[in-house]
Amino acid sequence: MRNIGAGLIPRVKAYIGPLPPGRSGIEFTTSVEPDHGCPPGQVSWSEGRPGVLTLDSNELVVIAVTILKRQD
Amino acid sequence: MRTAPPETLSTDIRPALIAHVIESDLMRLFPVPFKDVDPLAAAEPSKAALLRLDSGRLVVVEYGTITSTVTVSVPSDADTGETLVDLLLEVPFSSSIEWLSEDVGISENWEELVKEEDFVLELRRTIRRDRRLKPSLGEQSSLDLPSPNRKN
Repeated sequence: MRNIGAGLIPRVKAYIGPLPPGRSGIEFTTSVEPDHGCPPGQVSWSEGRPGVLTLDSNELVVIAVTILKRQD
Repeated sequence: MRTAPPETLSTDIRPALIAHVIESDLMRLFPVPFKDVDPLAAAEPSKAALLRLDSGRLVVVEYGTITSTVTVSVPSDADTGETLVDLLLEVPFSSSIEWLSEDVGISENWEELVKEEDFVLELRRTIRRDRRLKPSLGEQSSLDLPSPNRKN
């Protein structure tokens, strides 16, 4: 089933800023330039942009990050 | 509004509006089934719906269940301003708006505009007025501008 909320181009999505206390997630930094035109506080890296690695074309992309914190 | 089959969307989408509403309000405003988004495709646990507005335009509504963030995206080939006006005429949640994309194409500060009682109609008037003044603002110009790579 198509993942309609994600659009047609796969992208890594994240919120800007530190991971709030008690909230599950991963806090990271990256040197990869994000997409232009993201809403405030949100950021994304789309397939095809420099530094965005395609693992499965039109399906799955990744970026290199340094993980600062992980909360399960 | 009604949900549209996924294959209806033939282009990528771009974010156009952010709002915050509690989940019960989301269900009241958008009384349609939402589907869980693949966890790898969202910044937080989310659900989404592809909607066909009464005007015929398409929007994707994604809801982050932790932060109660509503992100409305429009097809990349759609008129962002007119699509959002159609949405807001149908779904009155203007007071919850926290961000409008500059693709909406208005020269005025929308945060001032949203205080107007008839915000949506005022938004439509502003979009159309600004386009008369500057056709390329907020939508692709129909002018046949020379390509930078083309010799004329």
